[in-house]
Amino acid sequence: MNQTTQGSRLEIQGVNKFFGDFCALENIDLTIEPGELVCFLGPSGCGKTTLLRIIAGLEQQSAGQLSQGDVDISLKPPRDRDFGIVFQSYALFPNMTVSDNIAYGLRSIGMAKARIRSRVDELLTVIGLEDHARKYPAQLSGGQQQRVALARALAPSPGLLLLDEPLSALDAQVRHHLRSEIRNLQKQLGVTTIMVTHDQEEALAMADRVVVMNNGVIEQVGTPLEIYQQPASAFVASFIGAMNFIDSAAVNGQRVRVGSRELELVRPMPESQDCVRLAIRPEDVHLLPAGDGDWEGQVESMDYLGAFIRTHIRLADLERLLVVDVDPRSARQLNLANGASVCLQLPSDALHCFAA
Amino acid sequence: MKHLKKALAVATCALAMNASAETELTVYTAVEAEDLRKYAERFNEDHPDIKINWVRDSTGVVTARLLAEKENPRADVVWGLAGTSLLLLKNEGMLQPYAPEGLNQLSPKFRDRDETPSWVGMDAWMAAICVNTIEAENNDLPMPTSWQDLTNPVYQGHVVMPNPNSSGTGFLDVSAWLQMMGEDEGWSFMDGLHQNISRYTHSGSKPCKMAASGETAIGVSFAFRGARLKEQGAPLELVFPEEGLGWEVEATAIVKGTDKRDAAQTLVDWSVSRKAMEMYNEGYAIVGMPGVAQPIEYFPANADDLIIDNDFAWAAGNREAILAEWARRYDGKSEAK
Amino acid sequence: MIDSPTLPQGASNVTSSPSPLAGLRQRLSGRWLFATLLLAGGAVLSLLVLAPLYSLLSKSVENKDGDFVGLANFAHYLSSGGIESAFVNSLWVAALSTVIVVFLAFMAAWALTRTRLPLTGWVRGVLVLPILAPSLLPAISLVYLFGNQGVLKSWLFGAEIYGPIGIIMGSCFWTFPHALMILLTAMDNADGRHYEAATALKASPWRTFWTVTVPGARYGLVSAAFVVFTLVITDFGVPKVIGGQFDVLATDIYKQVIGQQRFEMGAVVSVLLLLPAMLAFVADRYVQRKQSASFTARSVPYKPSHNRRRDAFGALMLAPTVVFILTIIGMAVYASFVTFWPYNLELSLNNYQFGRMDGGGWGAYLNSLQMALGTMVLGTALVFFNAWLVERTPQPKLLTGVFQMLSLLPLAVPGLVLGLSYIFFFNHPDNPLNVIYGSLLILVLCTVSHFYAVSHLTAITALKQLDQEFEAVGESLKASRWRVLFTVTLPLCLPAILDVALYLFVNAMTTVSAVVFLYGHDTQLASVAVLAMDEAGDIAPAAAMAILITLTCAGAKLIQSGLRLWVDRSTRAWRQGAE
Repeated sequence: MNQTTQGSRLEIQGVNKFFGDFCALENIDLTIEPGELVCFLGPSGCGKTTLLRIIAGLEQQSAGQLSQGDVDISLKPPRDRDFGIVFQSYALFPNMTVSDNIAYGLRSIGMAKARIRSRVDELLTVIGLEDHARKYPAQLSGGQQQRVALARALAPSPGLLLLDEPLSALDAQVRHHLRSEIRNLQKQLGVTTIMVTHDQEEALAMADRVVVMNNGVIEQVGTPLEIYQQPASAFVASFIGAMNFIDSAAVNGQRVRVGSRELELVRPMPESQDCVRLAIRPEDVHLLPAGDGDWEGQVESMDYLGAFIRTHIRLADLERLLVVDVDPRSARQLNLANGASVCLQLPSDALHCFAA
Repeated sequence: MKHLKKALAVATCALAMNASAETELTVYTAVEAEDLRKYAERFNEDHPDIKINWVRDSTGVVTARLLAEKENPRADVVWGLAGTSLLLLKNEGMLQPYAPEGLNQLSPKFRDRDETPSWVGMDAWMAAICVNTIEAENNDLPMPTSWQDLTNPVYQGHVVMPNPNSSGTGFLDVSAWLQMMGEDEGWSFMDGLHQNISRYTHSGSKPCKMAASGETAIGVSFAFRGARLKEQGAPLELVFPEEGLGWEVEATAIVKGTDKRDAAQTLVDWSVSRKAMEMYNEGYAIVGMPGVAQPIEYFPANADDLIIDNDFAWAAGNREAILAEWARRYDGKSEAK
Repeated sequence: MIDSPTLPQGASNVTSSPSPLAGLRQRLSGRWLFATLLLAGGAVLSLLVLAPLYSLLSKSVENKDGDFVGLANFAHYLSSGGIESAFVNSLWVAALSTVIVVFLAFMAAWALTRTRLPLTGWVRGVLVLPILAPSLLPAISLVYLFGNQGVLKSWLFGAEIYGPIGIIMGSCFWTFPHALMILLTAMDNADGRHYEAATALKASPWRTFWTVTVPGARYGLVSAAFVVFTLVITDFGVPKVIGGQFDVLATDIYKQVIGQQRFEMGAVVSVLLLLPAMLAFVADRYVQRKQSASFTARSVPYKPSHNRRRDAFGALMLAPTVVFILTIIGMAVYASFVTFWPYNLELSLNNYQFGRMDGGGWGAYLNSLQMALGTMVLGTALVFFNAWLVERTPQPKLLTGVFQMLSLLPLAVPGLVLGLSYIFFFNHPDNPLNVIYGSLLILVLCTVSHFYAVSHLTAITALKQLDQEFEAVGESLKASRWRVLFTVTLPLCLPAILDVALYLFVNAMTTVSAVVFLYGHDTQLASVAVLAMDEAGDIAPAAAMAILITLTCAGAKLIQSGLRLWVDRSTRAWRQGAE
């Protein structure tokens, strides 16, 4: 690709969106840096698609400003904004060939025919569909259609690329493959990209930064590592990866009581709370042979998940089963089996705590 | 866009066809379609400079249309519409009174009573009973000769007549019976007749058509239709009851507001001329000018004596009450089997 | 202002602010443009439907002299007796016809889409024949078949064709294709996976039918029922010709308006007639609203397996309808050759010499052809453009709701009422549009309005099936909605456009009830001529003209099928992905 696009910086300030009385977005502030790939992640109905559509100008925000580069685009119609978009359905024009689809945006801006042809050829090479130029979308596989949609969106070299659940209609293998393909292409072109997804794995694997949303508000913005290791809220903690939650009572600023025992905390506790929710990831729980510790439990069930074993352990002080991921080697050493006793430890530095 | 242009072109074409050098008269009529060409041709023999543009439909539709167009009349002349309808138009102030040449030669029954009449008559349109001879024979029905005969139980289920609420012909019959027999006797006659009626139709010619095609043995209708059907080969006998016949004048009038007054008057003059009367006589036994009519096939020679002394004003004045009474007596239970 | 322009300043002003042209262009692509256009479309529809209707229906609260009298006319009408029977008659006849037609149409649609019967193309052709024929044609045939002299009279076991039986038979005949087309659309898109699931769960064919086929078509069933019910209850043609004195609301309008020239009472009955039709409309909308919620994304087309018994059952279900329709049409063809039914059955071609015939002859036929073509072109353009605005452009909800109501309203209006309304509205001296009165254009406009509803529904359905994001993608690619319309939407909707065009053409050829009040001396129509000839007792020539109209419509249908085939061929690559 000889032509790299200069991605643009996008700034969102105080955006609100109401549908009647329903508040779909509440005070959204967000800055997206040039060349960055940002994922909007959240359960369905969290407002991520609405935010994307507002950025595209397909929906009008109820309040707030958007600017792209140095231009205020808050009130501009979609046609006057600078973006390309790929929808979940791809929305390829079924009556046009692959090359006509890709050329569509170039024709709208009145590019010369010869330049259109060379640009289309170039994009066809990038997506690896040189041989399919004269085919119609219906004659392509889902993955191929997806690539055509991507090429069509990128053809006019937009400063911003919007992807609305672009992979969710594909089967797992194609999805995994396309993930890295899109990511590489995006890096290569340097186009600022926003991708909406409900698939946390996809978000963590692809994004420079992840924006986790719930009920119309942004819960956390951060790199995939930050989001995973330092969830800012119980919602984020539970939505990303697996997490054990343990109810506890605060003793003082550093100690909490779980059942009959007290635990020390490293991370700060939420202020002025009598009860706090402790949280710990299954892989952070330490298991010790029975008798090696003072907190004992019984193995209720074990699921073999390949690289690790997900173990459900019943503890005396807890109503809920504790989920612990153990690598097969340690499991053998511990003689883990259904019904077996085991001791466990919750390392203070792995304990998160949230308001109850 | 192209499509719109095409449609507009079609429309303007239609409008353009109106324009022509000679005077064109828009004439609304209920005269039978088959006669229209003849009427216009005969008229044009004397007045080739006036072109008649016919708008023809059944009496009810033409009357409704004329009334609906009251605010902005489109017809110049009405030639060949029932007197009752013209009375209605006159009462709405839609007719231009005019005394045509030769008005004094018309029988007084065949003109509006005003000194300058709003309408002038052409011919009489009279009731008749159409009897299908084959069906009558199959069902052992004697040939009726009077209205009273039709109440004979032997005819039960074999008589069809028009509903006066839908059809002018139907009302003509009802009003004639009431005038001939008096109100009480008229209604009790209809009570008896109702027992024999198999159905009431919405159109005045339908009973005769049904008789012609054997759908019923006896149809109470009007003579003109019966004669035409007989001509076409229908096994019909036309019966003209001895008590007397209801009839209706077919007439001509100028529509108020026409900007072609001269041509309209020329047409009305011609419509009461002797030549026109002779033309009417080809299809009607009684015409507006006394002494013109020759006996014609299928009609009784004494037609003039058979028709009752119809009081149109009375009929028009009591129309609503009569129809309401009729509906009360026969409509509600008409489907009761 | 002093007359001394400071040119440099003025010039700098122009360059510093965005050019007015760019501003205009920007606004042209903005939301308000489309809302304005739809508002204009709504205004056109109001002009063609609402305003004329108001001019007539407002008479229901006026006396003869035009003074406001409140509900006095309604009170008078309701107290005059016989009304309950007309109302009840209307309801049960319409309801029974609906049940019969929907049942037969559903079984036919089932047999056509869920079996492997041969010749289904031909059968489809036969089943839509009734829509191609003027309404008088079945009336003539029914009398010849079941009347007093009818060849099949004994089949009625002594009952009479004149009355509810005739009305129901006639109504079933002409409304059947409407129901069939709706149900075929609903059932053509079956999801094969549901049938596979049913087979996997060992459901019997009977149980599969009730648990998969019927629920899958339920919205089509509701729509079909609504359309048939409304068509039957507002039609006066069949009851007038074959209903005898059996009173229904539609013939009551005829009695009041044509028999007695009492427009205000006609308006009263029209208003009453709107009620059941409106009720059916609301019920239909209510059910259809739920449809969008249960819409599924991707499905596998259903391919019926080999099953002799099922196919035989399908044939059994189709046979009576096919035979009934062919018999009716066949009888009418026969009637057009008979010299004088039933006493002179000699056959002759005389009845086809329209040139010598009264009532317009070939001239009327050519007028009809022109009118039908005009209706087709103008109507298709108007219907499709408006439907596009509703479905594919950003619109305020309220506006689309109102527009939707407006476009479906004509379905509930009897033609006779519409025709009279047009006189009152378009002939008014203060109406600048009164120049079109008496022209072919007013016939075209009236016919477009009369048949707007079903065309609108077809167009909406087609537009709904397109990907909802086409316009958004277009915008992102700097293509206006207009460009997307012409390069994507129109090509994709071509089959539906052809359907709408044919529907409008065919109905314009056969319609009578509204245009009978509007034709001028040089715009007589063939369909009206059929009525006039029948009225004059010339049944055979009337049948002949009716057959000619039917043949013309069949020709149009053939041309349309040819075009559709051509479209299908040339677009097969992108439709099915096959080579």
